[in-house]
Amino acid sequence: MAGAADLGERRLVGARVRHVEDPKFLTGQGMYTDDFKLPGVLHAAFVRSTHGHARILSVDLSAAREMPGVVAAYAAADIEDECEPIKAPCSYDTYCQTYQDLLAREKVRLVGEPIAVVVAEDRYLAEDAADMVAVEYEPLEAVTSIEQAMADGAPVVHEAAPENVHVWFHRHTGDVNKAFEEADFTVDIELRTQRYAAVCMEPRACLARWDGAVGELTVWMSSQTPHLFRTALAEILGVPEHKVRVIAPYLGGGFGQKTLLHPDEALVPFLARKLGRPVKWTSDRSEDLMVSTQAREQVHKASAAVRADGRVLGIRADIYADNGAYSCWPVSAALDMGQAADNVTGPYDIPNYERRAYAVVTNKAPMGPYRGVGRPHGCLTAERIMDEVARRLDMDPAEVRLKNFIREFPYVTASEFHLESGDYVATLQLGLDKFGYKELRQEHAELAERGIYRGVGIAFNVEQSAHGKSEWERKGVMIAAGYDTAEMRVEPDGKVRLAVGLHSHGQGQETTMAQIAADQLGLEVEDVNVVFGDTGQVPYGFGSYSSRATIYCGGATILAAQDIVAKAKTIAAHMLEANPNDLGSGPGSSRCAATRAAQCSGRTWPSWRTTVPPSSRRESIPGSTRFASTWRRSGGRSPTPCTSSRWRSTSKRAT
Amino acid sequence: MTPGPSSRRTIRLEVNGTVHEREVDVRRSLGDVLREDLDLTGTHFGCEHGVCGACTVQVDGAAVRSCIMLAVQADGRSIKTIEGMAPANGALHPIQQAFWDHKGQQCGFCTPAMVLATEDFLRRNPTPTREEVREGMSGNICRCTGYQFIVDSVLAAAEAIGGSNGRSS
Repeated sequence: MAGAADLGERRLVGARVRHVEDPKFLTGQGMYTDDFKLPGVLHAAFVRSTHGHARILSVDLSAAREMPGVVAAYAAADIEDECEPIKAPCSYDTYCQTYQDLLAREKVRLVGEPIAVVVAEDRYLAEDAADMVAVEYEPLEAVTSIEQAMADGAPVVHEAAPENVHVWFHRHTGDVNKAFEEADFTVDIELRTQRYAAVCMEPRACLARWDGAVGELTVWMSSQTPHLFRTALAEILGVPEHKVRVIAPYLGGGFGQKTLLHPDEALVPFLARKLGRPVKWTSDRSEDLMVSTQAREQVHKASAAVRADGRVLGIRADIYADNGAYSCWPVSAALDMGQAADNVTGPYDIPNYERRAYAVVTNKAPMGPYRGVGRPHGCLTAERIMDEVARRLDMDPAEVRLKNFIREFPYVTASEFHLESGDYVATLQLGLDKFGYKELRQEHAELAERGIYRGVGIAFNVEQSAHGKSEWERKGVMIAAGYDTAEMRVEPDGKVRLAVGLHSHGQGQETTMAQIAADQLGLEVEDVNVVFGDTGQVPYGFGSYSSRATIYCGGATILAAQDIVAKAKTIAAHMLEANPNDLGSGPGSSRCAATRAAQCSGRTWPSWRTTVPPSSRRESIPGSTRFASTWRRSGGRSPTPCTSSRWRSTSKRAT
Repeated sequence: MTPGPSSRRTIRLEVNGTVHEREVDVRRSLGDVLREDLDLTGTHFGCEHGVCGACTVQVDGAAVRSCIMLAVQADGRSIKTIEGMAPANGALHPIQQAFWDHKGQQCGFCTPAMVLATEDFLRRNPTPTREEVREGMSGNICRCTGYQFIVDSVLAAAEAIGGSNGRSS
C-alpha cells in the first residue's frame, strides 16, 4: 500500500473482498485430517453393534488378532483401566449422569456403537480383521420413540436414568393460569420434527501421535472446537492438558456435529499411546450415518390462551426431545430441549409462559447441536400458534402477528432473552411488501373460488447468536464459552500474525478476520496471516459454532489491534522525540505521527511500523513479542446464577 | 478376505501428465492409489460408494468417481486430478477462477471434484442454461453453499472458456 495508513477506517469491513483462502481449496491444497500422513501410521477399524439394544455376552477377538497386518485388537475389558468414559456435565439437578464408554461394556444402546477396535498396517486389512470379530448378543427390546420411552414399564436404556429421561425442567413465567382464565378460547397444537443427520461432506476423522519420550500427545481431528476437545481428551486419557495438542485443520463441514466428542475419535489417541505408533481413523459414510450425532427430533404439545381480538395471552408447552442413547459432551442433553423451549414465545409479547421440557432416552444415535439447535422447532411452534389463531378468528395471519409482536424495547422475554432493540412491525411489513403478500392473498382467494388452492406462509424469527456465558449456564451447559481470544503479533517485516480462537470451515473467517485487523492497522487483507485451529499455536478459544466466531474473535481482534496501535504510538513518540500523549488518541492523530515517522525513515511504511527505522529495528525491538497483544472478548451480560430457583425444577414431572 | 499374491497387479497410470507404475491389490480403489500412493490428496472421499461425487477425477477426459473405480480398471489410462488443473505458472484455470470470483465454494471439500466435473460438463455442453447446469452438476453434492453460487460459477466458467449463450434462469 502506498502512503500512510488510515488507522481504524472502515475500508475493508463491509467491502466486497474476494476470499484469500479460496485458491487453496480450488487447487486441492486445503488439507483435511485424512490428508495428513505420518511415518509408521496404523489404521483403526471399529466393530459396531448390529443391535439397537442388547447385552454383550462375549467378544471374541482371537481370529482378528491372527489376521495379516493386524497389530492389535481390543474390546472394552482391554482398555477400561487406562481411560475414562466420556461424561457430559450438566448443572440441572434433574440430570441423570450417564457415561459413554469408548468401547461398549456389558450393553450396547444404539446400532453402530463401537464394541471393539482393530488396528492394522492399512485400512483394508483393519476392516478385513474387524469382520472377523465375533460378538455374541442377548437382544433387548429397543426403545425407538418418545412415547415408548415414557410409557409405564418401558425398557430402561440406562440404569442411571431409570425413567428414560436424561434431564428435564419445568418453568413458569408470569401468571399462566390467569391467562387461560381470561382467554376467550384456546388453541392446541401438536408438532413433530423429524430427525436430521448433519452429513458433513468430510466425515469425522482423527490421526494421533504419542511422543512417549516427553509424554506428549498430538491429535489431528475434524473438530470445530479444538481447545475443547483438548480439554476432554486430557481428562479421558489422563494426560496433562498442556501436553495435549489438538490440531483441527480444514474441515469438510461441521454444522454443529463436530463440536461434540464421539467415543470412536477419542479412542484413536488412546490407541496411539497404547501402541506407541501413530494411528489414524476416518469414518466412512455408513458409520457416520449410524453414530455421528443427529438432531432435531422433537415433539411439541402446546396450548395457547387467546383473546377474541387475536392477542395471545399465554402459552403452555410440553417439549419432548428424542435425545437418543447418550448425553453428548460438552453440551449435554439439556441443550436441544432448552433451546426449543426458550424460543416458543418467538418475537411475540407473551409474558405468561409455562413449559415442561424432557430430553428422552431412546436407542438411537445421540442428538446434538445442528444448525440452529432447537431454535427451528421453537420457531415452528410459535408460528403455528399464530396461524391457528388466524384460522380460528378468520383473521389475516399477518394481522395476528402484528397484533402480538413485541413493540417496546428493551424487552425481556418470558425465557429471559434480553431484546435490546428492534422494529418487528416494520420488518414484517417490509417483507410483506417485497413479497407482494396482499396481492398474493387476493389472487389465492380468487383461485380458491375456482377450486385451486394455494397459500402463502409467514414465519418470523429473532435469531439468537454468540451466546454469552450466562445463556449457556441457563441452558445447564457447564463447559461454556463466554469469551474468545485474538493474539496479534507484528512480525519483523511489518506484517501481522493474528491467532484467533475460532475455526474456519466454510465461513471464510481467514478473510473476515484479516479484513477487521487490516482496517484497524491500515493494512491490506493479504498482510494479515490468520492462524487458527491448533492449540499449539493459538491461545485457548472456543471455536466456531452458534454464529459466534466473528462477534467474539472479531471483537478481540479489534481490541488487540488497538493495543498494538497504542504501543506503536509510544515507540513513534520516542522516535519523534515527542510525548506520546501529544500524539493524541484518535486514528487521525496516529496517522499524523505515522506520516511524520515515515518521513523520518525515508520510506513509506504502515503507521505502526514506521516508528522504527529499519536500521535501528534490532536495538529498538528486542522481539516481536514486544508488539504482541492478546485480548479476550467477553460476551453476554454478567452471569445469571444458574442456581436461581427460576431455573430449577419446581414440580414433579407429569407423565 | 485378504488378497493373496495373485491378487496383485502392476498397473501404469498417467496422472496429470506423469506416468506412474505401481503394484496394487486388485481391490484397491483408484482414489486410494491417488491419495495414499501418489500423495494427491486433493481428491476427497465423502461417501465411498459413488453417491456424493467428492472423489471425482477425470479418466481419459471423462468425470469418474474414483472411490468406486478400481485402480486396475484405470491401467493404461490417463487421469487428471485437481492437482493437474491449474497451469504451472501459478495462475488458476478459468474454471477455478470462476469459482473464486463467484464464491462457488465454502468448506472446500467438494470443490476439487466440482471443478473437475465442471470441465467435463462444459466440454459436453459449452453453452449451458442455468437449468442444464443444475442437471449437469447434479452428481456432485455440496452441503455448505445451497448451490446458487456454484451454478453462477459454472455459468461464468462457460463464458470465460468461450461458449456463451443467453442464460435463461
